[in-house]
Amino acid sequence: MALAWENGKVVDKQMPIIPHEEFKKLEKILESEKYTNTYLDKLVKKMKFPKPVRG
Amino acid sequence: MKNIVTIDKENYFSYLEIFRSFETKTDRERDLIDSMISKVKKSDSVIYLLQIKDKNIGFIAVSASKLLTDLEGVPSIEIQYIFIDTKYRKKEFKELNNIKASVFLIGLIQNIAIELQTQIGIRYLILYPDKQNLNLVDFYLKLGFYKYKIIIWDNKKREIEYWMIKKL
Repeated sequence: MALAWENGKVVDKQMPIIPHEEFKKLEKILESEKYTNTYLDKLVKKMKFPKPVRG
Repeated sequence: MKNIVTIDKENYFSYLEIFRSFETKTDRERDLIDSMISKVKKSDSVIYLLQIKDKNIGFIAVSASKLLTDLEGVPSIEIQYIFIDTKYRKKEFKELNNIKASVFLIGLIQNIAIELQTQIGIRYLILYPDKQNLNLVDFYLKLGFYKYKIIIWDNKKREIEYWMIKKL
């Protein structure tokens, strides 16, 4: 659950359930070039991220 | 020199001083940081702390999650909170190939998620923009997230929520 600030306090937000039919349409959109070859995708391919270390 | 430190329930207490020393803009941010630490303490989340030249720049907190439909639960990683010290907001770092710390941290999570995908199966990154701030929504759209609009009926009151989703 994500943290959010609502009515003056911290709350846990749960993403609502998506109707399955709607999710199938959403899946298609998310698989399209527009959402799979994004700025973030290109950045991740190009950038060398350091391995996280435990302090 | 940049460094990423993993903070979980085993070592969070060694970093409490660092979390307290972060400069925040509002008390709201301070409360969100405290809540995040409580989640780490319970093993609900893990924090990745970004350090550049021994300075603590900010962190990103994530947890395993599921995108739920009425028929299945799709494994995902949820970005729970991103915090950048006020001193370093809007700053581009040459150590990060001239990008902002927030963009770097989201990229880091996508990179970790892609690596994990081959081991445990993950399909999406999801997040809930803080305060549903439209500038923030716009920021995630520019990175390549999809804005998913959900209408919620609460006591006959119609509310709209935006969630951001990114396919790995």
